[in-house]
Amino acid sequence: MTKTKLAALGAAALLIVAPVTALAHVTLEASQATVGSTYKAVLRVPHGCAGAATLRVRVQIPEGFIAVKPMPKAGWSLDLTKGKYEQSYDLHGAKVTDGVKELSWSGNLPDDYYEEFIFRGTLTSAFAAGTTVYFPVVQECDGGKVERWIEIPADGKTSDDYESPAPGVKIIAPAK
Amino acid sequence: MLRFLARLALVVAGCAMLAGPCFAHATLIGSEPAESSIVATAPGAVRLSFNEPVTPLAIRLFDPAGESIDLTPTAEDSDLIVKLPVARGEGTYALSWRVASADGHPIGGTSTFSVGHASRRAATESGMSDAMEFLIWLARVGIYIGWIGGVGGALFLTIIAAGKRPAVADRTVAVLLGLGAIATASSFGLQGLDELGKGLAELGGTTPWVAGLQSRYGETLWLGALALLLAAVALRLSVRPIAATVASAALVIVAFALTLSGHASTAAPVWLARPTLGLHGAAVMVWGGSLLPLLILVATRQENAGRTALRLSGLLLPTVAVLALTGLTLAYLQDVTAASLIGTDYGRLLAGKLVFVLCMLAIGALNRRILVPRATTGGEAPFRQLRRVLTVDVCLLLAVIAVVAGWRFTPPPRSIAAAEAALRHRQMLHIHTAKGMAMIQLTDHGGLDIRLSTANGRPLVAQEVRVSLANPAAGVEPLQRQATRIEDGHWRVDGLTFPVGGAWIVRLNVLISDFESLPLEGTLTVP
Repeated sequence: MTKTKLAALGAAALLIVAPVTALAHVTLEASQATVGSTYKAVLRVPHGCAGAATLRVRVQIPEGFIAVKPMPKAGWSLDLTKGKYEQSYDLHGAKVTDGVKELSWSGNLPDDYYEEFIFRGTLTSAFAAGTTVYFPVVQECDGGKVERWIEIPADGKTSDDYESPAPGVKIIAPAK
Repeated sequence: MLRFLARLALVVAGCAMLAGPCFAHATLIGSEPAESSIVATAPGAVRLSFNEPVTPLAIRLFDPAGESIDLTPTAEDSDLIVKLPVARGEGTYALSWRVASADGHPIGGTSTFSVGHASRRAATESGMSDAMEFLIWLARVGIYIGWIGGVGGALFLTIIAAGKRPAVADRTVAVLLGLGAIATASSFGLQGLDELGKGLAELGGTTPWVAGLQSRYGETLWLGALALLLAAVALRLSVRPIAATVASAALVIVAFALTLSGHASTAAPVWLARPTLGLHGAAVMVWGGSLLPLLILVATRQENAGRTALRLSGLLLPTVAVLALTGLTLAYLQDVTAASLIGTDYGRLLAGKLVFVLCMLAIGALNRRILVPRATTGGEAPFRQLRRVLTVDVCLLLAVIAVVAGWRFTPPPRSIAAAEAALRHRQMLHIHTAKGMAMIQLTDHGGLDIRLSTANGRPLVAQEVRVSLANPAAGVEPLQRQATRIEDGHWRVDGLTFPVGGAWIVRLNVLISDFESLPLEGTLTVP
């Protein structure tokens, strides 16, 4: 058996064995980020709530993700909920004790369309390498329908084990 | 070929990795008849509407009786049409479906609808018909008449009644013994039918009779039949001491036979329950058995009737004392309380019995104090009065027997309590996690009662509680329900239909705040 054949078999096997990833979920484009880096979160919303158009996308900012700024979006109005952090963080030598706790975009996204929502912030050293930071998202739709992407995996489980997992980003150590 | 496969794999894997909306999960967006709706007539088909075309994997219909049938649907755009088989009666149907979305991800669910009216799954009840229940009761009555009137009567005639006795008294007691014998014989078959759970139509075969003969109650019946025979022999014996001995033996055998079966014989502690039951039975036979023969002696104006009644009166006081003491002990062992006297069938029968027995005691006291002493002095009027009172007494005894025979169908409070506790325990689900706890219980009218508390035991405040119920073993995909809030930490799901019994996986999704939920999972046993 040639190497090509082996590679082909391997690829085919991988395809069969690999679990079907959660493609229909609300996810983050960049699935990993470095400790202490600035992270640009691109939230991907692939569909509405059981066929209904999306009217609002709400994101909860996890404690430790600071200096958050959303990117404005044409046709969408933005709301920021600010509040005190649980502790103070150091940002370029300055103490930061409060900031954005929740973001929301209001507009209209038919079920047939795809959309991305962007915000940026700093991953403080509160997040150690190897952990995953979750951004729970609530998707509010026409007719009072709601999809909640808020499930955070319990120990020993992964997002794949859940119906509506919260989008997450894995923290990695800086490359040296 | 392999190279092509490799390329295909890479393309598909790439698509999966790169594209967000490349594929999407399918979701059920509606069904016809609508979820949990009630329709007047059975629909010919069920339409399941999805947000995108799906591939059916398994569709299974559960009818109101809990029977299931696998069905093949037809696709129509993104809908599935499931043709239903011919009507299977009124009640609630559950359609479990499992489909694959375009991305190959299988999803499943269960849709329910009712025809005519909502129902719970038909419970498996004891198949005993009214006719059979009546026959079993009648046979019991016959056996008690044979034991009390026959064996007790023989004892009275051979020991207590002094001097010559009229032939009609012997014949009457013999008839009662015969009645008891017939009832005993038929009881073997009836008991067998009951134990095998079969109907009266099967009484012609040998199987119920064999089962009856081998049953626990069969032992009681055998010994009882022996006692009836001995009592009949005692009546024929002319040598008084021997007759008295044989009749006493019959009494002892019945008392022993009583301890071999029935509710009371199994009450703990057995060493107390069994002798108490035997003594109780013996006392009933001595007292009850003497009533009818004495009535005959009085009615036929036997010259020794007055003296005999006097002797009996003397015997009655210790007998009643034994009856009362053993009766109270048994009631205590059976966990009878004032509440269970009204609240349970067993208690109501006991209460009825007590009323009759108290009347009999009042008559006994009346006889002893007034009528019997007067009758011994002779004269027509006291005899007539005594006769009337004794007739009433015999009727009361019959009533007591009729009531006691009804106990055959009612478990005593102690058994009811044990059965209920076991059922509650089985149908209660506790889920403990570090963040919170849930206690889930099936309610009587087809629902779930959910109690939620925090890890330190306070009621858990939640925005909403979603419940998902699945029975993978029976092929039932998750039934999704929204729980209704009763108060903080107390939620309920009503109008649930479990298509089948068994182990159901219960998943709770407790929404604590907009962005925080608590998943809880466990297994609930549904009867």
